Amino acid sequence: METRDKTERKAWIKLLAGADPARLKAFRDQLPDSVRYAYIVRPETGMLMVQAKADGSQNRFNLGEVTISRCVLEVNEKYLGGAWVMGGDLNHAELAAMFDGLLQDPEHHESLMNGLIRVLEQDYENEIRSMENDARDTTVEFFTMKRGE
Amino acid sequence: MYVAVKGGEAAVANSRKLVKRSRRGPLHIPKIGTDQVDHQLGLAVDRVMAEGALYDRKAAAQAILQSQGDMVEAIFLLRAFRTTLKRFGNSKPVNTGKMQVIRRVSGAFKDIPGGQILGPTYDYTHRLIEFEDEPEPPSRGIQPSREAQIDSDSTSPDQELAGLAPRFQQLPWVVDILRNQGLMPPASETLIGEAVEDLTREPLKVPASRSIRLQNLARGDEGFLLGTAYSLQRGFGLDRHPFLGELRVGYVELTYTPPELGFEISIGRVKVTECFMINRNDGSENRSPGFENGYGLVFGQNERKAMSMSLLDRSLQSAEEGVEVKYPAQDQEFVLSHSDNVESSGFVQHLKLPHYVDFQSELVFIRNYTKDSQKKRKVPVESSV
Repeated sequence: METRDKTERKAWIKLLAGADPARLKAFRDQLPDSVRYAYIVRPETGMLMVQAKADGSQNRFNLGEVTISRCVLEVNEKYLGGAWVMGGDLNHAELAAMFDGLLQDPEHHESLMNGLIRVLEQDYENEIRSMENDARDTTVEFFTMKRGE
Repeated sequence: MYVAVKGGEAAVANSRKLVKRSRRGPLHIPKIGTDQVDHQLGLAVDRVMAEGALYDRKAAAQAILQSQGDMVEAIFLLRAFRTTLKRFGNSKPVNTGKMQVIRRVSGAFKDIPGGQILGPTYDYTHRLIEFEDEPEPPSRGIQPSREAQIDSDSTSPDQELAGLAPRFQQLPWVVDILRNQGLMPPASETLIGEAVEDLTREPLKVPASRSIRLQNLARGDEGFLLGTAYSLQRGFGLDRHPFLGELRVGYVELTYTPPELGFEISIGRVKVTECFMINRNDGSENRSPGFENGYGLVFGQNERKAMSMSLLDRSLQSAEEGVEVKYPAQDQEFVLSHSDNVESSGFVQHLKLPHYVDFQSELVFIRNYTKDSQKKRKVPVESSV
């Protein structure tokens, strides 16, 4: 497996995990027929225990579990693609793993970064911005006091 | 003692059919789907996930539909579902300090760094049932009017996006104001070993560690926590008015290091409610006067539960702090052993099971007792004649 910059890979893994599966499917349908993959870990659903910090400190406790689905594939007989996504959608895990593998393949990297990944970035940013705007709109303005003191 | 009862198979089968029919209701009324439940009954989904101790919006929505909105039943279904899943591992502890905040208020300070953010809340609604159909609100997302507004600002939206330094992801905790002034003990920074005690793997033992208590409360019944916390406020264990240091609702990033990868990745966002409740402490031999906090953290948006949890987190520290345990809400065994609604519902409702033989023995006992006492009463009367 060609080792790409880990930061870059982490960034696309995050976007693929947070993606709307319908988006991934739409991009999968545009891929050439030559793309092949084999299962290393078949898509399966399980859980992660979500740990939290009491008082925001280093004292941890178990908050509860979260359903996740995972899948590991060998893409184009060369690249190991993996996915760990929230929820029980096995298809999401499989598509995300496939794209993780393809993104490591120099043949597909550039076009996927400019297509799929750019779209997912936009989706993510829109979502964050929408939350930011809603928070800003409902922030109380006190007229007489300076904030932050 | 339970008795194996035979018979009734047909009645049971018909009862199951009946529950399906009554769940569906009249066929001319459109069926609702999990997407509708997830988005239009989102707070119900939040509660089921918190007490079901499994963050899975789709499964929780399905459980709510399947139980006709009976929340405790839905929680039971989700708990049963979680037992069928394998645990892949533990997440990295979620960092609520970097929460993407959608709501955040403090009852202790008016001017807090970052401001008071009301977000989506029923607190300022009129609580009047709106019987007429509401017009559809504008969909979430960037509104055209806002685009114009942003454009008129000095920074263009693109610049803002390029930097992507959201303002509501970096909000400092209000309790840090008190910590920095030395009025509240600093948050403990000592790592206590690698393993965290887990209530789902070991039975509850009291006195329980704080990790176990917080896990227990996080999955505990909202009503039980609320009632018990209320008892504290009414004087059964709390002699001072507590203050809401901070309540924040938002999304925390879930990160995990899959062994197959060997490095940490982000796998999504989890919605949580966090609460810091402040109590005054007039000091003792070991510590100077100041404040201390109780902590609450629950899945989803559930403010009354997070607040109740933080009040109880404080009161359950009584024994450790040498405070006399006088009231139920200070008593770890009382609170922790009765907070789980799957357990309590099971035990209360098991009374519906056949207890025919037990009850026969009760009947026999009472009959014999009555006979005996009648005999005894008769004897003195006869002797006096």
